[in-house]
Amino acid sequence: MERLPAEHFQDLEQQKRAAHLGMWLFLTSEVLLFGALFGAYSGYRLHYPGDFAQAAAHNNVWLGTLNTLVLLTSSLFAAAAVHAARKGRRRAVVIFLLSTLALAVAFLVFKSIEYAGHFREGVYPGRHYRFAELPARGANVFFTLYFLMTGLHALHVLGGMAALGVASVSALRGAYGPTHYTPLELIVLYWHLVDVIWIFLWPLMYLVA
Amino acid sequence: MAIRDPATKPGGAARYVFAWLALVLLTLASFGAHQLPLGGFATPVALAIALVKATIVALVFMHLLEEAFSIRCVAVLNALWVALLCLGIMADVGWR
Repeated sequence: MERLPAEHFQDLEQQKRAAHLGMWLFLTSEVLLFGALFGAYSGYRLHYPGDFAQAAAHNNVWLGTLNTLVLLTSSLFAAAAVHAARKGRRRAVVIFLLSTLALAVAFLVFKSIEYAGHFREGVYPGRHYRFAELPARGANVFFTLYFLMTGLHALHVLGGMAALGVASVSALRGAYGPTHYTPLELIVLYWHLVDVIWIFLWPLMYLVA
Repeated sequence: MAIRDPATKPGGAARYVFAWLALVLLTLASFGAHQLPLGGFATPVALAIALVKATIVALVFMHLLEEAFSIRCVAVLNALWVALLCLGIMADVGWR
């Protein structure tokens, strides 16, 4: 059956372009949300350079790096899912989407292991912080920002997983193909943004020591 | 202006793999640079590598190369506003 555009669009191409622009504007709101936190990090980093370096050195750089590689690979699979939909390979779309979801779960598992380690040592956000090894005020601020930024990012991972789950179900029903893949593209755009945010979180939280 | 479909280009799938390889290599480069005594340059180097990685994700995985000019503007301005915000806050703290 031939797909028709909504009545306020001239053609499907215009409809698709409008959907992409709308999604990018939504991503802009997400960037500004995280931008405020990156701004706060920048200011405090300049205010407490030594404390931030010591606190970042305490983070597990191996787990952080592993999680970076996990998210980058999940982005590859997500992009491959869209490519497969465009090519009409419906089975491959499902496989790539489920692989992306599996890596998202792996990311959260590794992050949970890190959080559990922090809590065991008394590294909590804000006034609950009681890590004796790094008692300085700057270290407390660093870890508060760490939990705020990585926690908000983890919530976005969960949101992305929910959207990818819905897309997987649609893909299982054969919803995506060469003439209809824009909803999948938009969900995957969101997932890539989650990856881009982590690309900046990783050096700031693990490599500034 | 029509959105160009990367799936119709030759090597469409291969470029995702090349982009991923570049991202992995840049991650390892960033990790390697972290082990070097770069002093005050450590953070700028790490952030410069992160910027290159984010650009690769945006251009290849997010298909910014194929998108309309208006969408490219939105993406570039996103980065610009965050950079401006961070630099403004740092200037305020630095010169206070």
